[in-house]
Amino acid sequence: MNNIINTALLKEHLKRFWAIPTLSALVLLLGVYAPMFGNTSSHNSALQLINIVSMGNVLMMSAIMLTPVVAVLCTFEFFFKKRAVTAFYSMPMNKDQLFATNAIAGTILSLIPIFVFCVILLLPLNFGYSDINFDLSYIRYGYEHLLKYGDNSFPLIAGLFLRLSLVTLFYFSLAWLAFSLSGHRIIGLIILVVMPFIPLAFIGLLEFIANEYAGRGHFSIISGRTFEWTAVCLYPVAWGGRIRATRIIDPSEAIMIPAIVCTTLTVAMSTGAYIISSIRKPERTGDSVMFIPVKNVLIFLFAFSFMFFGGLLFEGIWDNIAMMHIGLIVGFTIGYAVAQMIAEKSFQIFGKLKYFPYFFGTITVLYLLMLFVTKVILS
Amino acid sequence: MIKINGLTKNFDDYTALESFNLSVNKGSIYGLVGVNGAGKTTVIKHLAGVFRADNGSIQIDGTDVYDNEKVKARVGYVSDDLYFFPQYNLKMLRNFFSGLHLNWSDERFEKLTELLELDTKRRVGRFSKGMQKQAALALALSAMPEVLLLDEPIDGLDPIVRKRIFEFIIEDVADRQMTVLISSHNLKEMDGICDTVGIIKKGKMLMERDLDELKSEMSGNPSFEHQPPSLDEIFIYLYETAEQKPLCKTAEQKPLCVEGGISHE
Repeated sequence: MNNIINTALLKEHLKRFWAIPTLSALVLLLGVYAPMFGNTSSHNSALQLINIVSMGNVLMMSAIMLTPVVAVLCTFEFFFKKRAVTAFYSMPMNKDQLFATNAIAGTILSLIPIFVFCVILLLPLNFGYSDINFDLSYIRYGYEHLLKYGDNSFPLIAGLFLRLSLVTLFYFSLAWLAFSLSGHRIIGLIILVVMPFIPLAFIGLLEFIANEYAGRGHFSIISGRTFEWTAVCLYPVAWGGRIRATRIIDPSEAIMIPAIVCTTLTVAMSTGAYIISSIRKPERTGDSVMFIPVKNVLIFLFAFSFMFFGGLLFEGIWDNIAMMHIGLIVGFTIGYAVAQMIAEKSFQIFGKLKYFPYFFGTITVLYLLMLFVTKVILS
Repeated sequence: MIKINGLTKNFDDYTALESFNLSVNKGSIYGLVGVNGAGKTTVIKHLAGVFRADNGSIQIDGTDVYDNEKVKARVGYVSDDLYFFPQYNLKMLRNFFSGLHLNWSDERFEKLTELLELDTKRRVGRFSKGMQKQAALALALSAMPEVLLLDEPIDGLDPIVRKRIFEFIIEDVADRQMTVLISSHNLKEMDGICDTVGIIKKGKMLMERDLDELKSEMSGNPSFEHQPPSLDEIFIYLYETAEQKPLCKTAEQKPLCVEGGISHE
């Protein structure tokens, strides 16, 4: 085992960061589990349980999203501190061992609270609900499937644990990838927030253009469902809402495809993060972005996201295509300026304005291409 | 024991090291001297396995250092810029390091912390800069390394502690044939400690010489106002006047080449 990971460092990480799983477990137990018993009505308790099992509890999903992000920030602290990178890289281990050890430590720290939560959740199901009326016919979305588990609640909780683990690992790999691209915590956080939004913005803009130029629902390939599916795959926290919204009796069917996509993305992001972590130059620690070519790509993507918002905002206010285009331009321009400030970690970006025409030219070409695709090829 | 050949390292547009060569024999104490920004820390970080060279080789006992956990396990390193786990005291650090280093000696650690009067239950973050350096030295020496890399180790240390530390190091070199490389911007600090000194200038090795030989060669040189010249004066003189010559491959090529470039093997 010591060939793959360094057990001394693994143990030390688990000791140092014990507070992460402890606090996360406390949030889950006090904020999610305890209210089940806070109300004397068994109906409300049952609803709480359904909310938990269907992953619709906001506090639970927030804790599950944030815990892996904090775990990455802690176990990979040398991504951001020059002193730490010297200390860690000079330790008697190779980089594969270092990254594997940190990744496994972070994963364990992230999974412990949900494991504890799920184990404790077995208690009310096996010992506390014998008198509760499980007649849920008045619930619109058909959770009768819960009844079929009867006294054997283990499959239900096992399924919940697997889903929560998948969501946790998804956010862990996303955070690891985002922070491996940056040598700065705040910028890493910005990348983390913006990254899943990029495909959504792209699909959204495509649909936007299709709706404006070809009429709503004219193209079957580009429709609201594409945007919805993309959102569900990229934001596993939305699964609870999806289970409710689709009125499918078996929730596993509602989230089966997103779960497969999510798993694939998790594996891809973890692999990408591992490779990027290995090729990062320690001397660039502290820089906004670790790789100069990636810097320009991130600036472009950030500006692109702002462009989408700008177009939406102006179109929403003035409700016409001309204003939508102005909104796109304004959004892109502001996004570019903000992105440069973040990348340079400074407000003094006047020297960078000379590159704006190149970025604007690129987005114009991309926009025209999208227009061409929606209007010419698909009409 | 330590051999660096043709080491080149660039940081974006800036060349920190260019075709840098260095050779340290086993069981010797080598002083790497240079002004601020000469490249001393960069050399040491390559030896510690932190940086990857753009060109050239860095070897300890004939094995490449970079990303090699077996070689790094034999190396003790005290950085100029220290890092300790936040909120940790020396006792907690000892527990961690003893798991990390197979040759760790608790006895030595107790001896060093006693000698340096370090409180093992106090958070290292609360130590003064000098005490933090002492703590780092104690941890590095307790790992019983075969190669010890010290980056400006005596900055911030008082003369008494300095003397104790160096006595300990010299004892280790004599008993265990430990190889030591110390970087400094002050040649005077190397006196009485180092066998050989290497002067680095703008990322290149200017010269490598036995320290006693260097002192006796410079003694009587009319360029110096005072005789014998102080080591500071010798350093300034060499830094400002010595040409950077190609490395000697044989003894017959002197004085057209850098003498330190002669292979010791």
